[in-house]
Amino acid sequence: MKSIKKAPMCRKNRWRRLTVLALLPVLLFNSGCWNQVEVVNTVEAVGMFFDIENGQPLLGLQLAEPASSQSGTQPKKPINVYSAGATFSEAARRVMLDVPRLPMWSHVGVMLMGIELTQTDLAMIADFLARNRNVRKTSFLFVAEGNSKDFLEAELPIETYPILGLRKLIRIQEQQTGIYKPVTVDDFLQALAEPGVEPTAPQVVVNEVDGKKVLGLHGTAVFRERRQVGMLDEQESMGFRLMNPGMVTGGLFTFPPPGEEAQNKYISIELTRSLAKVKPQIEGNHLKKININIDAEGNFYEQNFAGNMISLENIGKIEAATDEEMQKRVMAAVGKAQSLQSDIFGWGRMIRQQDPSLWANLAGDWPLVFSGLEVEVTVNFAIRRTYLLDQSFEYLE
Amino acid sequence: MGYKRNKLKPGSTPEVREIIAKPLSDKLEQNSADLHLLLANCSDAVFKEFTFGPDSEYSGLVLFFDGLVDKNEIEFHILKPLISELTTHCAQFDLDHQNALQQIQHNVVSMAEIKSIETLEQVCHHIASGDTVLLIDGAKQGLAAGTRAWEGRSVEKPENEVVVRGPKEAFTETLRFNTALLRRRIKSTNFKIESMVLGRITKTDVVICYIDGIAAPELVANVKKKLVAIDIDGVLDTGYLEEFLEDNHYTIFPQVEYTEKPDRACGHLLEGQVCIMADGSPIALILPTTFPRFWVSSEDYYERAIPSSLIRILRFSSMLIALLLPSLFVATITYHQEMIPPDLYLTIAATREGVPFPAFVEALLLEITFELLREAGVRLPHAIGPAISIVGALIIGDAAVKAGLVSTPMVVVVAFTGIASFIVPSYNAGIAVRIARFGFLFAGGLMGLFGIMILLLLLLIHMTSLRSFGLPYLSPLAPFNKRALTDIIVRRPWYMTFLRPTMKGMENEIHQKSTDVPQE
Repeated sequence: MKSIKKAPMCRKNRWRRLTVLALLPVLLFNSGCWNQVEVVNTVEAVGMFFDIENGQPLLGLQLAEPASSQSGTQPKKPINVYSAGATFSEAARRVMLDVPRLPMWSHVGVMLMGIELTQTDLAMIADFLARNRNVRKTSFLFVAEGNSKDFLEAELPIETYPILGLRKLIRIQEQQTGIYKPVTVDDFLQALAEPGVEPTAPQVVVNEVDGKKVLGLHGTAVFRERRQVGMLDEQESMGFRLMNPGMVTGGLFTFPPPGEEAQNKYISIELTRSLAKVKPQIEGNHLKKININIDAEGNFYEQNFAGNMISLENIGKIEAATDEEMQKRVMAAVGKAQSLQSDIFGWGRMIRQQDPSLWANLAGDWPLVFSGLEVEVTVNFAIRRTYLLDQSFEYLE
Repeated sequence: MGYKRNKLKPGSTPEVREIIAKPLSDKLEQNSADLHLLLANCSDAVFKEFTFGPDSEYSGLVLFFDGLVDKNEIEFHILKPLISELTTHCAQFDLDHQNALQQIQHNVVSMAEIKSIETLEQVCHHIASGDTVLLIDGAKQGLAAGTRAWEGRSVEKPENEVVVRGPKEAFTETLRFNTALLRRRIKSTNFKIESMVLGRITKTDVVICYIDGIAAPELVANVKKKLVAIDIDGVLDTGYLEEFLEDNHYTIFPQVEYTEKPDRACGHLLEGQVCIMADGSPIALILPTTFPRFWVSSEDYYERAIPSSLIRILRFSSMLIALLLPSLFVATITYHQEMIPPDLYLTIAATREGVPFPAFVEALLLEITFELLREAGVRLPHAIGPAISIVGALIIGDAAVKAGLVSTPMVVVVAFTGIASFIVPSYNAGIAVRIARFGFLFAGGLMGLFGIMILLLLLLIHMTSLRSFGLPYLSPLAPFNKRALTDIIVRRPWYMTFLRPTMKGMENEIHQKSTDVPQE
């Protein structure tokens, strides 16, 4: 009797339990498909241009043309869209008034800041860059000197989407020439936020080539107190790059051979690796000077004149000349930064980490202290290889 | 147990059941009449009545089923000695009515396999198994002589488990051939082949093979217990038994491994597993088994260790691809576009332009089409088989893309998944992966990578809860066992394999003596 009485109870309980178990997975769907986007409802955004027009944020957007698979062979064209708003977020949302598809903001690989914006106030853009989850922090950031329309419509050889092409351009030129250092959104924001270091960004300009507008790199923008105050030229940019914390690889130095003052005689030295050690020399409660010690090595790459440069006694001379050349460029960068009173090297940060109490004293007028700092640069360069020739050509004269 | 025991009585008339229970009578006429009644309408039953002995004083009856016996053997070893030799050399045999049957059994019939039987049921069982039964008047027993010889498939190459290197024999439908294939490989008296009869009507011979001293006695006892408990009218394939033997019924994962290759069965026997075969089935069941065994092929053990380890890793990865690739693709392009590199996204976006379906629906349609094609290919006769693949390739690969119904990357993904799923060596594990793939597709299509992760966790929880004869299904991965692991992701070289894999209830752990390591 007992078991018969109990059985229906059990069954009821079991069903109730099963129902709950069956409903539990349904909870998973509560999150829903809220961020589901079909590919056909999207368009890939390749580049963004932040500028100010009539005192209002202006957003220029370069979109990739969606092409059907049938017409895959036809050359595609970038589509440029402009929209304005009180903030950059509003401007970005107002793009939707003109474009029927959702731009994939996360695919924007290159962001340009108009010089109008950088000379006004970086605070207008910083929050947008840092807070927005769709901004990819590994995008490369550039300063653009000129009209936004010119930039978005300019070309870059070979590349379908010129703005996106800047990404490849900045990376490959760094390895090959060693001039400009790529700056990501993340690097930029960190330098902007941290006391004792100022941000930089490579500059882009539009050049006229055969009547066509072509994008090109030109200098490194230097900032101070949320504003662009000047720029480094090629030589200074090279020197700036050599002081990058951590290993620097790639680059080419061309300068007259040691002991020769004649015109048009040059040697090219390829930099394979270089490591700069920067150390503020603090004595007691006084910052005496900044010691910069660069260890580098590289290869002899070319000489454009007759005579054998590569000999046992010459190698030491070439190395010394390279030391001098690198030192010259580093000093040029330091000099420019000091004249602009902008600590782009992050020496203030170093002092803060080494001696916080000293930094507390200096922080107030750091730009001034920085501009008057004594700097000592020692470079120790070594030639490792001479590639396919161990001697140069000997000509019959 | 998870099934309801069939309480119905066997489907024969009470009269027949009464007769079959009777012992043999000493009157040949009575026996003959009973047997004629039992074998009424069995046109293949042959009754040969004859007389023998001096003055033809004995009468006898030879009974067999035509087609199951070697008639030559009956003529030369049973009938000829009885009818002609016994009659002519009567004095030598000194036949008397009391012991006639024993004398015939030991002195007259020149056959190796002969035994005496006592009931009508035994008579019926023996003739149905291909033996020949001899009854003589005046004896309460009969003789059953082994004359089994029927037309069967000879030992051929395996059709489903093809290997490049290694033995190329496969089991056939004849149980004796199959046990012989095993016995030829394991010449030890410890190799036991225990026999039992299952199937109320089919009376199928089923054997349990194991190596005494390696297989755990509890395991063997457990298997026997489970087999004896089976009450089913017919066992036409070992597949009938698999469902009775598995511990968990509500799962997509097979808990019993099967093979058509005797060498593979022997390998498992040497690891302490038990092998079950049934007459009429060319498939041997192997148990217990674990999930990691399903990406192992017998060829791994024949090819050198390094290549076979690499191929095993490839197989394992392709199992993951077969399980996850379509769902990962769908989840990524509908939820996580930022994870795709920009150039790849441009390419994918260009191909999807104008495709009318959402990615999830597209993947589902293509997957279903692929499964249809595959199933059609399996069932179709050999002559038409290739045609379906041509039609399938044309329809899906070309026409559907050209018509803009599906996008090319999706076709590539589905095709790649298909190829990966063919790499899974075990067909039954492959089916499980195929089923789970659809679950993942839904999870990925509805909830993105989040959903795939949740389903993966649920699946793992489910798999860890499974047991195959008490052996955890994911062992040696969970519970972790370092020693057995060296035969799961990679294959340890034979010269380093001193111990058998654990966790299978080993009695005898030593594979080889450690002195056999090659020295530099």
